Amino acid sequence: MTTRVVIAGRGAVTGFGRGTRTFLDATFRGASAIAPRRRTAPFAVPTSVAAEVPADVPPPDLPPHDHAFFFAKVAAEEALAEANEPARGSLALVLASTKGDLSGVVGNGIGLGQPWRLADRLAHSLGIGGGVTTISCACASGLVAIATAARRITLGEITHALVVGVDALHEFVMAGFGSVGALDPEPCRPFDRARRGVTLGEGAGALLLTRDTSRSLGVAITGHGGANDACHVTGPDRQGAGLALAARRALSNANLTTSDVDVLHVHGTGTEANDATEAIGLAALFAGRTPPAFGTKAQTGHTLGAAGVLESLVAIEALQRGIAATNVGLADPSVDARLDLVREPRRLERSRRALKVASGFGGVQAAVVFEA
Amino acid sequence: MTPDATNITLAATASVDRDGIRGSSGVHTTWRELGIAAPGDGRTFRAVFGRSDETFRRLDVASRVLVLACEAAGLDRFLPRARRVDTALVVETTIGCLDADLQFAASLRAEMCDAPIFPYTLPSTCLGEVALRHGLRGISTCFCIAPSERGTAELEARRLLTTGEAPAVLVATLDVLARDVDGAARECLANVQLLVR
Repeated sequence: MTTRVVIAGRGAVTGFGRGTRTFLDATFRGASAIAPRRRTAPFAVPTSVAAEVPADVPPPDLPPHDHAFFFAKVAAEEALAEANEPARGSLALVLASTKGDLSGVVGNGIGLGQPWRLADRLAHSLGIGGGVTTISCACASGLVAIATAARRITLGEITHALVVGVDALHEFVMAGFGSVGALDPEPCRPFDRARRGVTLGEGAGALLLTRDTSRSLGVAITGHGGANDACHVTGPDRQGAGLALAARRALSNANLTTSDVDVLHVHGTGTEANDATEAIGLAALFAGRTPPAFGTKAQTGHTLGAAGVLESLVAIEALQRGIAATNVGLADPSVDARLDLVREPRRLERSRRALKVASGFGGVQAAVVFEA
Repeated sequence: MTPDATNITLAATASVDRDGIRGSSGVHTTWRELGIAAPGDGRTFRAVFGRSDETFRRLDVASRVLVLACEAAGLDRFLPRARRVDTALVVETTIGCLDADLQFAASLRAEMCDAPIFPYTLPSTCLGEVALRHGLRGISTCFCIAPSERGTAELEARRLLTTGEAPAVLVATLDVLARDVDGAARECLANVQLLVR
């Protein structure tokens, strides 16, 4: 990448509540938003917990199928405000979501699980006039959306873009994860010997990207890459080769090598296969001990289409604080020991570059490099 | 800089639609000739190509149509094995995986959760089915587009070729719906193009 793409605004709605600062402070404090299910308690799914957005965040009369739109709009407005309200007429929206609004698939409505409908509604609501793009790449959606926006800015097609990742908890999705045996009945424990699967969460993350460096919050996107495992549509490559390939491509795109990476924000879902293969792939990429690595799904739950954007906010914050946060719930690591999983908040020796990785069904792998 | 057509060539192409299946592999057949209505069934791959695909019958209908289109394009003939590790996949869809969504939702209502269909309730899963069959390990992207946004995938493919992120891109427009739904019409369409630099 030659044109510098900088971060100018951030927004978040998570299980911790509304706001980026609330989210990041809780994350770096080691808190977890995973709790006994309340709004989703009637769902017949094999887990007792989820990371639901607190009940006092959405309006009390908000229909369930409007939660994703509401989360996305709140996060987007926060990012726009922090970026000092860039011209919306020329602003592009890139939305990442797995299912968007499931009305019409379950119950009445017109969402039909087609995220482009949610994106169009959001753009219209926010007065965004620079084009709408919708990405649905499973759990890698958020990083793919960031890469898509950064690529267009780099090519000079657009000057700024709002990237929003969003998904809301729904029985359809929770039951689906349950049906394939991927839900931990208790709070998830990524990379731990006792891990039994994912805990789902919900929310939205937003990033305002621009080529106007005067608006920068001090962090740029300097590389992105992708790959496909090309071996199975739901299971990962046993050597983590696809993830490593995506990361290698992102580093190459940034004209960096592995020795330039100061901190890793991992995918870390809590499933046996994901965590084991992710560790193998990253250890192979770094040809040995990795930089300090941490993940945050034991705090936010797996927020699916929102995860890549929310976790990018965490990676950026790690650079700005100079700290890698704790892997919450990790008591007894049982993955490739070359993955340097952080057990207590750790001050980084150098905090210039963070590598964020993600994986999704369909074999989709993605990686983004952030540079302070 | 706007992605342009300089040095980008079409190496293979195919389409599956309501009439039939045709592509640069030389396949040209109609649903009438096959004796089945679009989008076919679990035996269509063998009926068209004369050999079996071990998992074809277990795929959702959208993935089946995309797999048929890629085979009809002749990817294995026109895309050298050495280039496949860098070949990107870019899919665009309006309907997405609505058929699989409705199938899974019906199974939930019946309290007989259809686990095998769940992975196909993501529009990017079909892309994985193509990737694993042809060994494509490049950047993978699925765009969910409004009907007016046709061409999004091809434009993105040209960006990937222009920036050098991929030397070849398999681009697909995929819209398959095999049932009547309020708010969406029945459709059977997969257009694939292999663009190379």
